[in-house]
Amino acid sequence: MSFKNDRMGTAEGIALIFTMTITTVFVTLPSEIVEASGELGWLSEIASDLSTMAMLFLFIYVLERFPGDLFHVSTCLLGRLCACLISIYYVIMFFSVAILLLRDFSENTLFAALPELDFHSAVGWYAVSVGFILYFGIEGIARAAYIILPFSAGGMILTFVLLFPHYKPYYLFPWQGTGITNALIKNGVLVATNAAAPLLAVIAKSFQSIRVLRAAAIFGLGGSMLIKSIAILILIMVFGTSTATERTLPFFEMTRLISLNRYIQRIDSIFIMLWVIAGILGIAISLYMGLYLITRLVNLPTMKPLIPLVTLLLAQFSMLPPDSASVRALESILVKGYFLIGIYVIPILLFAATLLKEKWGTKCASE
Amino acid sequence: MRFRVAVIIMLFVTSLLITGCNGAKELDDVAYVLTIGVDAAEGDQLIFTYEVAIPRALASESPGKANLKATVDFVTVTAPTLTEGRNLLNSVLARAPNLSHVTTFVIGEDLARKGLTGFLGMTMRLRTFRGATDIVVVNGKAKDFLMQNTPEEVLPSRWFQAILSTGDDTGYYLRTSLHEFYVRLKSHSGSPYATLMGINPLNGEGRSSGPAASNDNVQHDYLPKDIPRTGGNPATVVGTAVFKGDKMVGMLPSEETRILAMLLGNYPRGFMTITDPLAPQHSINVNLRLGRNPKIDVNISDEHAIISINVFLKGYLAGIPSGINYESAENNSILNQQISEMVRQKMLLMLQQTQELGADIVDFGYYLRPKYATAQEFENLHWDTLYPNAKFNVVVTTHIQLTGLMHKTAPIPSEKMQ
Repeated sequence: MSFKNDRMGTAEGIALIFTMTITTVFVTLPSEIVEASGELGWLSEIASDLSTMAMLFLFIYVLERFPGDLFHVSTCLLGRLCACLISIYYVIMFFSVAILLLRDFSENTLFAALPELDFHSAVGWYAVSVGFILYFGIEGIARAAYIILPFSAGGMILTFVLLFPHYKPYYLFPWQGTGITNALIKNGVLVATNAAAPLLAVIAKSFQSIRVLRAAAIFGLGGSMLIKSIAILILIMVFGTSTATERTLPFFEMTRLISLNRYIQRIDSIFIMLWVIAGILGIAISLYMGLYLITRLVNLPTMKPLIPLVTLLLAQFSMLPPDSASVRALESILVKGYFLIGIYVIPILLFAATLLKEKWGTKCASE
Repeated sequence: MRFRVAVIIMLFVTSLLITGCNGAKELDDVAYVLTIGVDAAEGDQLIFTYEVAIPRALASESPGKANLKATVDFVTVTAPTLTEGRNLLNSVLARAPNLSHVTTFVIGEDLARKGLTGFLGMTMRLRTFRGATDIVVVNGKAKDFLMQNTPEEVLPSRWFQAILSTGDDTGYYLRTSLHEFYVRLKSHSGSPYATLMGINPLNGEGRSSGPAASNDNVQHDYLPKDIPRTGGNPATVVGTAVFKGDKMVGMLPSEETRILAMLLGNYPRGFMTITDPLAPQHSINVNLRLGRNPKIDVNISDEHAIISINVFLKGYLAGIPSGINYESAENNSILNQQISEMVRQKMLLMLQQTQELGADIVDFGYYLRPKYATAQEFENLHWDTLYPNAKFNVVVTTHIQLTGLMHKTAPIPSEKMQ
């Protein structure tokens, strides 16, 4: 597979960023946010997403002045060594996201849909599916994500509406939850729930223009933020904070509660399909980003030979944590630590370097 | 070319694998459990009564001809947990038991009074059960209730679903789901409650339970076993089981349940019989509903809770046996006052009872939430300790808006009354 530039438009950009950031709503994260921020959990999500969006705009500012992808721009602004370090960092980050998603979605499949399936088989099937669709390249994946986007967003909004009889608005009070600073900073800005968002910078070359990146950041991440924060808000209104913190799969539990009458009930099976597709696409996109950076790092003409090898390795890694609790502990360490570098430190570093370059009037050589 | 061939082979293999046949069970291999009754046994054991559907019987007979004994089978096992009970059931039935279609959990009074935590935890954790499953408490043993229930429906599960969905017509019982029960149990502001069921002796005898309002001469406040009736299905749904934490501490009869429904904003309509204010030897029938959601305000003053309740009822006249013209503006106002005062007194009596039980089943604490800034402050309030000493200010306003298909009541000529 060779890399083709300038092929993806706004729709693909929005779909990629939306799919990559919405997947967290299907796993345990909303419960963990409610546990940390209480009744103000929805605000933590908004704070985290808005800060990520601000960082994406720093990336876009840099890319507007120095066109190219992340590797090229980092090389130009910080030198080859720093560019390699940044790329290696992001490779580890995207692979970690892929490993965590692979593990989470395999476990969720066992909990929610196929309890008799062997865990290793679940991981294996996800890995095979991901490996298979990776061969179609990022354009194919982005277009598939765009096709399911309206179903995914529409399905979630429908769930929120059908849950209306269960709403208890005062469960959103005491309005400060565990504390407003706690919700905004400690559990909001300082939690990288959208670790994969920098993908826009990683494959910036593949988009048609900077305008596309801007639209993807606003509508892709913005749309995902809206749905995730509403999901947490409704989770609190339906379950109350005490019960919400207990749930392993809060979104799945919400769909299971829908029982309006003899004809509208047990609709959760529809959503299982939806989140399995979203999960597979999410894993595939993360994996693609990591592979793309490797091919750029070592200047390979194609990533194709790496796909089966890396997919197999990541599937093995995802099976290493002995239990769900270890996965959640690892996830917590990553989103509150390692991923923050990719979300905040690197964009700020590149932005500062751009300002200095602009001040000194130096130019970068195009690729 | 090779890639295309690989894709075609892959799609072909996938289409074979996603048919759902792998691990599927034929209908003939599965025993669908419809209802589970749970009673307390000695020690930490539980008695599970499973009502298992017999699909063959349902298919072979027309619904009219099918009877309960033919369509379901009852299996009772004693086990320490729900999962162990399922294991033992598997040893009894030739088919694999499937609990995912359970629509109702029927809890025996003994177990409810002992506490439900151990039982509930499993129902919330296992994928098999859903939050939308109904939970009811029976005034007696769950096993006896299930065995004596002879519904008019072909399947008992359908009976449970149908009767629980018609509670709106009277307000004499409130449908409770596992989800609602569990959320109340874990919340810091209210106590859980559950629908009350029981077996009526069908001997035509019975008596009203609960205290009567001072202006109520026609009191009829019943628990399931107390309704004076004969004939029909002995299984009766009326009243509410009151819980403090996970333990049942009391029962509210029919009228008190209706008052609870009003306070919960869940009283769509219902006929009410009240004492005729101008001829106390007679009664008047009205159909009432909530004119708007009740306005409830809770304040804390000197570590005492003051609860203000404002309920607005509206409705229409359904019957005036005394023949007095309550359709007139003057008499209508007297009637409105009579209804308001009777409902207010009943409300105070019901609330007093819940205070004695120490169970805030209306969830008044819920209305306090916006008055606190942080979750910690609200938890430190310890609402459960404040509720038993709370003071109530209750205002009930009634507006009999419509007179039915008669706009006035003409008196019966006096000579015909002699």
